[in-house]
Amino acid sequence: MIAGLPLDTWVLMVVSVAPGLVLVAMAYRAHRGDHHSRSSDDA
Amino acid sequence: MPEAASPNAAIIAVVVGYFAVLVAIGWWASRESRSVKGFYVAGKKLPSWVIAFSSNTTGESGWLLLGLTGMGYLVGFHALWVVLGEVLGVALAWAVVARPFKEFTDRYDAITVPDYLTDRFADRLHIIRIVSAIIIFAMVGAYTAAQLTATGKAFSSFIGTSYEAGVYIGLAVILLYTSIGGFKAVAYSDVLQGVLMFLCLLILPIVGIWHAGGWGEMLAGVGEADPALLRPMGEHGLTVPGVMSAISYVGIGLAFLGAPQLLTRFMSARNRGQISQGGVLAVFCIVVFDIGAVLTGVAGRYLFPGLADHETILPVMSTELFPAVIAGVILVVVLAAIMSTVDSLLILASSSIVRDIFQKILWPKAPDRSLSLVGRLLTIVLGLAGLGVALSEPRMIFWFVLFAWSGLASAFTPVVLCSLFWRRTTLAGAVAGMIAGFAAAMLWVVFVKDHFYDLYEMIPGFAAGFAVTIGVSLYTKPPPDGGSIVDDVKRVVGGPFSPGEGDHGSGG
Repeated sequence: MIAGLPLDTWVLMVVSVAPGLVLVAMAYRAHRGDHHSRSSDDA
Repeated sequence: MPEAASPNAAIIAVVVGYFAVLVAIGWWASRESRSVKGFYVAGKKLPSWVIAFSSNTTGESGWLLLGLTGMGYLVGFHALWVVLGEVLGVALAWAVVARPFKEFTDRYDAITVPDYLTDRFADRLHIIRIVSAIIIFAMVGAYTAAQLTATGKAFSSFIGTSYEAGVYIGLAVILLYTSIGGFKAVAYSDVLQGVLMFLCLLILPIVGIWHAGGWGEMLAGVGEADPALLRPMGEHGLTVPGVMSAISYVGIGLAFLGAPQLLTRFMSARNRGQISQGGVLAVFCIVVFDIGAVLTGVAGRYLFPGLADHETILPVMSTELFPAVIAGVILVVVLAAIMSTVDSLLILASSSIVRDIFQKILWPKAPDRSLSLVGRLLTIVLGLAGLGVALSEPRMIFWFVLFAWSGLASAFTPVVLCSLFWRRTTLAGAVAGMIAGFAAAMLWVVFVKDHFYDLYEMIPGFAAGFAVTIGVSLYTKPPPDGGSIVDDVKRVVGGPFSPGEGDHGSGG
């Protein structure tokens, strides 16, 4: 038990949030310079 | 000395203030809604933070505040599997799906998902539009009715009004701002509603844990009542039912990859750059939403054990732990979660008729303003239809939400993903895949679910949708251009983690 919870519960908690945050951070890093628009109203 | 206002008066004052703000947003957005494109995708001009909040609040609905908190109350930390599915689903949607989808829909000048699929597969007979309209109509009807049911229950449990009065009041406000302001009003009201939900789910678990005597005290008490509440696999442990339960919970989040009411948000973005920024905000918010809801439920289990209906834990905590004004704010948050979904669904169903049936099939030369007016009227008619169901069948609530959520996602997600990333996808494959995904999800609920570990219907729905889309596409003649547009879009937008030719500045 760590801070009242079993270790595998802590592992699930980390696994449930960390990969998603890493994914969008990597995508943002790759595409942060993209401001292209095809929208006629925005051109 | 003046008589003190009753708790209900304070709650009602907060609710009335909130409704006034929503109507003001509808009025402010009304200028944009005079054309079909303006009414249904806000002219494709929305910034990143608006689409981020709008997609999250549309996806979550009243289920987040009443259903997921109830799940945390009922099964404890086993509900973290829902968090895993939703966070991954939202992250993949923004990182992988949104950019190519935005590029495709801009090239086709599409403003609905059936619009996009029709152009992507050169469907001259409009089969996709008709099949889509039928599926969207059926599912939105059930979904809207369930959300209105939740509105009625929220009003009666917080203020003590009759169930019917709550349904009438909630629907009247939604119809007012949605029919006046269209998608722009819906999206900006989603921001207000999302911020309220965020704050609620940040504060409520902290207050709950504090009332429980702290983190250690709460977990010790919960574990003493039932040790399974602290384990990731819950009461079943690492058994077939336990694994099936975890898979079902994860499956709820898959819909974020392709449910049409969420894809519309990506379409309405000002440009692709807004998507890169919005993704980070959307995932951060969904983490707070979901972890907050689960911890609220766990704290509630310690503080108020033995509730007859576990989905009432949030109203119980807010009325028992907070003064009346704050309880009023929390009621507003529950209503916000419900309304942010209902308004989006009404716009979705209205667009599938006005854009996909009227403008593209029956009445192509109709003036834009006339179609926009039809859209407003249709939004009202659809809301009234949902009202009829909600008043006649008040028992259905989150079961119906999850049912409609899976029906929409199973019909559209496999086909949309294949259309974006697999050049060999054909029109026949897309139509068959939509019907198969939808039918599999529905048939699973009716005939199989109870006999197969209660496995969530979106899993077989997705499996059937992908299998049939791929199988029929391979069996039928390849697309005339060889699906070269898929490669072209990939060249321009790049991969999820690599810049494309359309990216400016330095990439990763």
